[in-house]
Amino acid sequence: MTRQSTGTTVELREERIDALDIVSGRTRYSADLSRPDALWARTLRSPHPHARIVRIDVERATGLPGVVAVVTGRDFPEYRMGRAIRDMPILARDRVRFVGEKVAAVVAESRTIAERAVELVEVQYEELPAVFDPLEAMRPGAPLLHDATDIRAWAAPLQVVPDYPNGVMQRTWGATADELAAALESSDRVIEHVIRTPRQHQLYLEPHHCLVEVDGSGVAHVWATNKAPFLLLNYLEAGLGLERGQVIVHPLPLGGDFGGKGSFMDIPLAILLARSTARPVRMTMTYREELGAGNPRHAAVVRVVSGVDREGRIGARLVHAIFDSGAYAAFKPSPDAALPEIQGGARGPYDIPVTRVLADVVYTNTVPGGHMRNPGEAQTAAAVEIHMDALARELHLDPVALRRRHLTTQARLGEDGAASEARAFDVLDAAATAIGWGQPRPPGVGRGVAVVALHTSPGVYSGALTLHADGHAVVRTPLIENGAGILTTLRALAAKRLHVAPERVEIEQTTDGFTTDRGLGGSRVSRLESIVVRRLVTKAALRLREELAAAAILSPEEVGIEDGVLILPTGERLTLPEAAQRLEATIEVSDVYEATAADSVTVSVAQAAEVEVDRETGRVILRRLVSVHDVGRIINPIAFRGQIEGALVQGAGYALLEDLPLEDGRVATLNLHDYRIPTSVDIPTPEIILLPLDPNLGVTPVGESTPGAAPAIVNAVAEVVSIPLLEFPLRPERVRAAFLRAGEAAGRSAGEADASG
Amino acid sequence: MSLDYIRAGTTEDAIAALIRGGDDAKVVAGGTALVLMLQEGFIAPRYLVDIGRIAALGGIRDVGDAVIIGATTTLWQVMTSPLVGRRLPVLVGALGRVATVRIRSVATLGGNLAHGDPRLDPAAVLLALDASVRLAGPDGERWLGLEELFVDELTTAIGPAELVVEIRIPYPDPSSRLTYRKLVGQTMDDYGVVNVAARLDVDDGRCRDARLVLGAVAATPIRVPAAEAVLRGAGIGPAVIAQAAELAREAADPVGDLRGSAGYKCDMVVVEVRRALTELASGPGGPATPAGRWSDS
Repeated sequence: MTRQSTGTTVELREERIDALDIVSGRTRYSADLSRPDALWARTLRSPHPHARIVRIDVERATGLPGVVAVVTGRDFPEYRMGRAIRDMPILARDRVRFVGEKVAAVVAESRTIAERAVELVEVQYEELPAVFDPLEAMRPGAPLLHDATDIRAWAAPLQVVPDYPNGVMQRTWGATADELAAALESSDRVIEHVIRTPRQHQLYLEPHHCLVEVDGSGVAHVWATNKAPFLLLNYLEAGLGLERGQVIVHPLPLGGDFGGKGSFMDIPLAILLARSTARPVRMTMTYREELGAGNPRHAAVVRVVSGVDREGRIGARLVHAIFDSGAYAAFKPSPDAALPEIQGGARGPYDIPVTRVLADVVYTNTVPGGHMRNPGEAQTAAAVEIHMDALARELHLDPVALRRRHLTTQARLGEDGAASEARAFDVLDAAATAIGWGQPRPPGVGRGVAVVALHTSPGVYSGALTLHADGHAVVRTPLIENGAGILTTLRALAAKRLHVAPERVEIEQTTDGFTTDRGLGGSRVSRLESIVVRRLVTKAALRLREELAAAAILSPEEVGIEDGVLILPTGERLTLPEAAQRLEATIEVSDVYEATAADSVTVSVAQAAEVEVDRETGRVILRRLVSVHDVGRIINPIAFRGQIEGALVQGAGYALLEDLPLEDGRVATLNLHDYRIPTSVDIPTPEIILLPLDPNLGVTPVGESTPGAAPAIVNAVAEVVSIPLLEFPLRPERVRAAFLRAGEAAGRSAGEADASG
Repeated sequence: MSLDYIRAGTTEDAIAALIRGGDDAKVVAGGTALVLMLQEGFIAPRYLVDIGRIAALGGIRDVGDAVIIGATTTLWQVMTSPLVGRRLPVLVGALGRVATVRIRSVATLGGNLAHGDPRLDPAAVLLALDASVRLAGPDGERWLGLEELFVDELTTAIGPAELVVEIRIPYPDPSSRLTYRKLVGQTMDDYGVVNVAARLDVDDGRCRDARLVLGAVAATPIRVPAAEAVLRGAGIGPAVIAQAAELAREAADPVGDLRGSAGYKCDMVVVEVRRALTELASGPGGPATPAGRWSDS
């Protein structure tokens, strides 16, 4: 159900470009491809969270018929891979640092042979003390994963390496420690909560896969599950010491991403293996490997402190988030080694006079973390919004009223720098009204809200536009289709600017002719592509104006341009495709646009949930899920709604179910009947409410527009339990334990009351 | 490694293929559990004997005092059978709780029992219904009650070359009240934390006979004779129910896992048994009322 607050239904018209190919099985994904003579590679992974490799014996594996090569970390130079921080060996050399780290690789004629041969590789380990909790890892005397000098040597340009053990990076934003201390000092009450957030897997349908072939001239061709070909090139070139041109990434559609397909995974290894065997090599991760050794969302411990005055006004706030990096920091792409939206999630849409945000990223002997929908923000926004409810209840204030009191009144900046009113109030009020805030609650029913500010980030984007003499248009783009519908969105953008039906625009997905592109992520792509398309159309208009003028013996100034339409002195108006047809000319323009912070936008979103909680079993039924959005333009209504619905389901999974818990350092949920995600019968039909569209904002972010879903659900359950719930997912046993604690607390306070009475 | 897929035309063919394959042979009916076992590497058979096309193993028929269901009848076929719906609504409800509609459309009733997984819904409810299975093997045929069928986790009394041919479910007495409850901890398609199947035969407010079966909290679905004894002859009120629920907790021997610790599961046995018996005590759930069909907790 999608509706504007005025009650009108958004029309859902345009079909996905790729829909028919996907459902009919014609779409070719990475794993569908092979090359003649291709080999399969499999890796042996560490069974220990921390150990020294004493000896590796590959003799039995090598002897198995069909095995082409067995390699260990010692067979290559010491390459280290990483997106911003190159700290990850391709194969472990002397030490393993998490269960699932790659120790040896087997290349064989078939996948089955490779699988059997891997079991024949014998490794002798000497186990080392391991640390699994980031807070313990920071303490003096904790087992060290890496040498401090190495960490500093690997550091990315803006990475500040802290002095405590196992520190990857530390960063602060906002007020200084002294300013915060003074503001807390002058507060009437200081209330804090420590919230723990779980490790969540992206759970795309398509696991990681790659195929690599090295051609006669030594160039490695890569067909892989990766969402940003030019970033991948950078990683491979930097990690393997290659020149531009020595690797070619062939773009392919993805079977889901959710932030998890930006890393290199097995690709560098496959390149080395393809080179050393002189045959194409395929590698695929099983889902067991995905869950145990993918690049899941970082677990975090977030301390939120509020200094409050007598009127319940928050004068000071600290948000201190400690992220569990896992054994390596290689999957974090930011130059400061942080996660991108830590600060945004921590500040939220609030104006609090003194706010300090502090983030630490810490190595532990666990699976390395990567990006997943709202990286940094998922953790901090959840913590802040859980704290807001707990704070309100402690102060005997209404959680919505407490939020309203602190919402920002700052204006948003629109597409052309024009200010428009802040709508944080509107989204929160709409969510609260829709969920029935303040209405009587049936027994066991609770309601919760959360409000979050979203920011888009900048980046470099490339594109090209060809207008053919026959009147059809082709847009070339290096963007990958990850399932979100970006290519359909691109077609809609181009069709609108060119004033033609979408069917007249062809989208060609290719890296040929391009040299850079930041690729998918950060909920910025539709917005920045709308700028690229606008610039392409402007360039094409100028070119066609010149050619039209030349053909008609006019000066170019005599041909007008208005909204991508050429106006001849006769008054005749030609769309650009018509002009190309008239001239019987094919013209091509290209553009590389480096977006800046000025191209970014900030909007507010609010989510609300209603749950029913079984006091005796702890089971939570999600009854209603409301999502309210402040939106500029909607380009592709189906994709728009799909992004919100999918993100809400992922948020519900985050709040209620999903985690990669460890048992002795091993991920305990290594299959999809233990790692559960919500199914359609577990989720109510999402109620999506759009504020009246504000076209002044341009294209607003949608892919990551529901980080409030998880805290809204947690807050709804906490309302029933009547004590703060500071750790999720809220599996039944955890909720029941909270009910028991709440009962004891109630019993105690009743006892105290009796004693005092 | 090669895997031979043998499609048996008759029960005799299937048994012959199983004899030939020995320990390396496995039976495929719906394949829903088998494929998971293959994927996880728990089993590595060289022969798969498909019994899905054997006509004699399908079908649902009324034999007067019982229904007989062919082993390869899918759960969906059983659930949607008008006869089963009329005479055994509690079974329809229990089958509705099995995984997803996709699994229910493929998984078979015989396969569910032969798998011997204590968490599967049909096992518990059929035990409460006094069902029995007819087995066919190299030495001919035999009938086995479900209590004899389930030996240990994933272990049944079915011999190496034996097949489940059909399942006989006697119609409950008109005075029988039945319910099936499943507490799922995570998603609706998940295994139960605890499954409870209960039957009370009630005359004039007194319990003449009782069956209490727990699933997912021991190596096999288990009856709780101590609780049944307490219920038998008693007027069913809160005190007796609480006593029966405590006896059920004592009978349970769950393993802690991601769905809950052993302690939590034991506590949930008490909650779910109490809820099941309370529901039956208050009247509905007779054999002809489709109660408890979606009695989710």
